[in-house]
Amino acid sequence: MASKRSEDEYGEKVNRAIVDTGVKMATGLVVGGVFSLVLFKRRTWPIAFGVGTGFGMGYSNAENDFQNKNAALLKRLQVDIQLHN
Amino acid sequence: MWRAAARGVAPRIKSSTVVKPLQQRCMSSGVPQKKGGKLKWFILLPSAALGGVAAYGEFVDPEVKKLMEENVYSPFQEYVYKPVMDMIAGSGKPAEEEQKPLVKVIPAKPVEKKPEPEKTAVKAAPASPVPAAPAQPQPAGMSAKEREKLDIEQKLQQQREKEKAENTALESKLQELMNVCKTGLQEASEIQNEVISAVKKHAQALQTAMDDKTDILNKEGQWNAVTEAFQKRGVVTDNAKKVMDSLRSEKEKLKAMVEEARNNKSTKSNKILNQAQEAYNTVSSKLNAIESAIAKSESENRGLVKFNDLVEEGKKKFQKELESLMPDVKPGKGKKLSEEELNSLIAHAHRRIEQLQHQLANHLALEKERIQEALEMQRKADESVCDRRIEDEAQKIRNNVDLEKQKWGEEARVQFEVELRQQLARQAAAHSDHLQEVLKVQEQELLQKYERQFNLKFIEERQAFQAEIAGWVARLKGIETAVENRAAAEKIAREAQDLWLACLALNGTIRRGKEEELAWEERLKPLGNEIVAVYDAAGNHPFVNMIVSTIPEKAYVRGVWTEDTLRERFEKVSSVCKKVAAIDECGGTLYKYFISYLQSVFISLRSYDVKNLNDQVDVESMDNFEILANASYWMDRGDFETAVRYMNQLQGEARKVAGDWLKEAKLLLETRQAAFALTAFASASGLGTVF
Repeated sequence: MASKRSEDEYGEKVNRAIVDTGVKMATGLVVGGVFSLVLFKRRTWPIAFGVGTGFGMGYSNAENDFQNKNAALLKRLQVDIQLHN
Repeated sequence: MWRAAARGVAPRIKSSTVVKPLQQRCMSSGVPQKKGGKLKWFILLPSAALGGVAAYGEFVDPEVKKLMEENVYSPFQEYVYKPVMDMIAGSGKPAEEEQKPLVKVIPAKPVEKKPEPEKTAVKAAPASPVPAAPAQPQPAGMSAKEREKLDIEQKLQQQREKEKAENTALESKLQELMNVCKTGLQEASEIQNEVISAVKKHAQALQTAMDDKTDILNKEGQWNAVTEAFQKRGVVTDNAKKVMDSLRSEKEKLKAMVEEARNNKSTKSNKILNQAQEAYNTVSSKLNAIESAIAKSESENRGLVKFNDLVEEGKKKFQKELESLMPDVKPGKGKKLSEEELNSLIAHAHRRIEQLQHQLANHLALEKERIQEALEMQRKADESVCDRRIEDEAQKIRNNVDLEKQKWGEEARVQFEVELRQQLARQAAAHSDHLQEVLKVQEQELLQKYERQFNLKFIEERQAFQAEIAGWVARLKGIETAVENRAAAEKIAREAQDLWLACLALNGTIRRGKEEELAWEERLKPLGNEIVAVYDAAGNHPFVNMIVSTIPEKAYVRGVWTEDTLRERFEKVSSVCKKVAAIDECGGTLYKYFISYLQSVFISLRSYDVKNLNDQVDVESMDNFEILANASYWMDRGDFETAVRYMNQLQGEARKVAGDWLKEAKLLLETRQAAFALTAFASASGLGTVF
């Protein structure tokens, strides 16, 4: 599992994303359910909310994982420098 | 059957169990068998058995044959065959055949023995055949010449032996004869004495009988004694004659033998001849002496005998006259004579006396003449005796002279022999001295010659030898240098080989890594050992040093991915790169990733035209897909380097994804390049020496 090969990173990222999203969605479900049960008199919208929150969080994580913000920043700066020059 | 039994019915018997009757059996052969006919089996079977065993013994098993020989063949031969053959042939043949070989064995000896014993006395016989016979069995193994020599020698020896035999025979015979002569001589001298004594006795007796007047009564006795003596003398004389005759014959024999021996050249020079001659001489002289003595005594006494005879005659005459006068008177009878008779007797006596006186006067008158005559006779007798004696003496002297001559001759011969020997010895000595001198001189000459030649040859040889040695030394030096060069070359070759091997090892390690591991990471083998080996094998070569220094350290320490593994990895890398091909290095949103993925699904890498190796590539214009297409194309074709080159052109996220792979690939390429350079160098430096 500790394969540090660069080509595997993509795969791993994808796995992580999926797993993460799934976990978050499941957690959201559970929390929503709990909220639904406890606070919101068994309405369905906390569950959906929870799942959605979970999905969103997962998606956001995945995106951050996939993105390389430093590189983007560098590139923008380079472009700026180039533009300046 | 049991069923039948159960039913209580007799069982049906199968036809095959029935015993066919005799008749049926005969029917098959067609001839009825006899009841007897067993005798022939008694003969046929044993002989067949013997024959079988004999054949077996002959062809299969020799032990059986031996057994058969012991127990059957030899007894048969002894007790049956031989007696039968003897009876048929008779007993002569086998005995003959037995005797023949015995006879052949002794052919030589009896032939040899025959000529020898014919002429030998006792001593010579055993000596001669012994040296002759052993000489016989040798001649087979020698050459003709040697055989001739041997024959001649044998003949000489035989001759010598013959001579010896003859000589000894002669000697013994002569000795015998001489002994006989000696004894005969002794006898003769004895007998001579006897004869002389007998004659003397007879003469004495006669004398007494006639002259002795004293013992008239015993006249008869005396006359008897005379007759006795006369008889004895006769006997003795006969004896003497016999003895002398025999002695003479012996003497003649001796002489004849001596003459024969002298004539026979083989016994000419026998010393005993002289002895015999001497003996003969003595015997003959003694014999002559004896004879002359006897004759002398006889002649001495002849006178007396004559006288006696005359007296006897006178007496007889007187008797006759008396008888004529008185016929019936027998004197000596003792009868008394008558007076007449007496008167007549006296008258007769007187007349007789007158006559006698007359005769006596006559005699006295003729005495002188008679004496002269007698003297003459005596002289003649003496002369004859003298002649005889002279002859004897002459003979004796002649014999002695002969003997002396012989002796002198022998002595002279011996002397001559000795002198000749001396002269020969002197000559031989002189000759040997001369020879010695000549030999000495020759020796000196030869020595000088030899020395000269020897020195020359020696110098020659030495020079030749030295030249050869020089040649050899030069060759040796050449060989040494060649060997050294060779050794150096071999050293270089070995070093090159070592280097080459080390490079090969390096290449191998680079190519294979750790083969037994399955996981790609574990296949990495640190190249440290191999590189060190190469470094060592190269000595301190600068080229090798430089190249070795270019090898990245990671290769030393961690090792290098093998091409195969990289190829395998490339698939994944390629596919992932394809998936993220549209994303640049900033990464991207999930949406971008998704779109990129979707794009990759619809694009096939094979649809791109692949650039050739020699084309110029505009890297900027190629997008990731094209790059990937090229790379994978060339990777499939095995051109790792080109693939790596293309992969190096990737941009953005794809580059990041392929980063590790690229790094490894670059490492590999670098190391491989270095290794190939080293191998090339090793090959180049070793090529000359390997072949």
